[in-house]
Amino acid sequence: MELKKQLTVVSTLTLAELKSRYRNTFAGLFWVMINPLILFSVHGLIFKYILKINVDKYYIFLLSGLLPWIFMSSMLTQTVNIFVTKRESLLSFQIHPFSLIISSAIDIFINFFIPFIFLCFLLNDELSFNLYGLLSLPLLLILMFIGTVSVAISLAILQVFFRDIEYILNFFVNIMFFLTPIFYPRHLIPAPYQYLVDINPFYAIIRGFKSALWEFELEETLTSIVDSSLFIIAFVILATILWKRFRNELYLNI
Amino acid sequence: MNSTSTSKDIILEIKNLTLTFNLTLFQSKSIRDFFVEIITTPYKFFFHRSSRLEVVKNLDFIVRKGERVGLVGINGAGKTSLCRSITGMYGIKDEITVHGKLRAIFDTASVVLPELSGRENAWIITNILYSHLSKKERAEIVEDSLEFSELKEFIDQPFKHYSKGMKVRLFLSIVSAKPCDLLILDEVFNGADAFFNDKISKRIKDVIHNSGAVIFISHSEEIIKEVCNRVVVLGGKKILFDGSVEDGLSFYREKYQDATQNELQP
Repeated sequence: MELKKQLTVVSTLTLAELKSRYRNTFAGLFWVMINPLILFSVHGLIFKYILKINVDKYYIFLLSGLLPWIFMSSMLTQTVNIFVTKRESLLSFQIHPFSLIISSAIDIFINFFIPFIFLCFLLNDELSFNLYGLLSLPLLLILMFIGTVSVAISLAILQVFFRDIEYILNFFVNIMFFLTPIFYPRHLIPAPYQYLVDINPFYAIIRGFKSALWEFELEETLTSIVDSSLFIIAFVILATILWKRFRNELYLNI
Repeated sequence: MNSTSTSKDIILEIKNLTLTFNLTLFQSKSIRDFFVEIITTPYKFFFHRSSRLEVVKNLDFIVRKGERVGLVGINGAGKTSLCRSITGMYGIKDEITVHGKLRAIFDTASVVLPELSGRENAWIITNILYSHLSKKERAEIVEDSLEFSELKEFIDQPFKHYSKGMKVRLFLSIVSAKPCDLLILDEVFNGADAFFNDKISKRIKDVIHNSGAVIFISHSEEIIKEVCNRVVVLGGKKILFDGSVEDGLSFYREKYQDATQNELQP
């Protein structure tokens, strides 16, 4: 019963966010599509033709890293301050704070998924149509969603008490874009620093997408699933501890 | 309160509730301040004892069916915090039991998405407040509330263009659409314009009378007299008075003679 109520609240908030985004229906959809498409095209042109990164089927290589990155980074940066900006709603109704984050996550996920599918169709010549790779995609999408939501919850809780988390996060996300093998292959990183990639949670999930869409390797897919699951367990534990520790004071500080 | 009532009539049961907040978390700091503190005063940072604020201590409180409790206390007495803990916001489960459906409203001018129209926001608020009802029942509440609020041509305008009074009007129309087992209303009449106040007052009073039990926070002595049949005075972390409306309000006036100058308005 409680779950049904929370589902009603989450679906309502998600639909409301979508309504507000797609206010002018076609124009709204176009705007949501255009942002990742432009980002993708600009990155593709720069890295393939100006920096001349030598990777076979570069566009699909870039797509499999860049689109999950856009979802994870925009999810974290867009929800970090959500408890503060939605304080009126949180203080007035019996809305669970997590509902706000989950509904935002679904909204951002839809905005990620439409251009993702569109680009996959556009670049279907370069797609690796490996059955195992394609089968791993739904699992990778679920892992990416849960992992990002749990990190977003922790950051949103901390932001209530330490208001500069938002700025630090933006800075961190900008740096991580270059430190994560998104637009360049992993083997370009010198051997002594390869371990840094293994402890990078963004790469844990991105390597799975690269294996699924670009060049399938069973070992890569399995490593991605196992590593992402371990990171998710750690993130869920962290979010639970922070929620239990700060729950009461959260309502007073927002 | 009522000697003939049985345990079946109990709607809210609070046993030995202590509500504390960590005061050190109140002053919103930044990571930068934390870093500076570790460098400059490491001993204080690691060994200082965190100060805690006790809002209520070992509180016992029962609300039975048919009771309309006016919760009174000076600002900071913990009225809203107590009601928030009843709604489950603070995650207290063992000490608080609510038998039945609970609906609580703490701010009547709040808005969910300002870019959306009044109609769309009415749909959002209804879905949140009445999430246990079916889709059809919720749609009926939206239509009824929109009609009752008399916002007419404004109803499809963006909510951000509404005045505070208009927002309150729509919000109160939705809140008062259906009774429930336990209704918690915190300062619900603040902000409603004079014309609409009479109309909405009647509807709110109706929903109060039809609900199982009500906890009502207000600074208006007149409204408490009109609406409630029991007054609880909260102060000094405990219940100072629990009894009839007349006696409760007299007790409160005497106890907080100076403080009430700006609190309870006759």
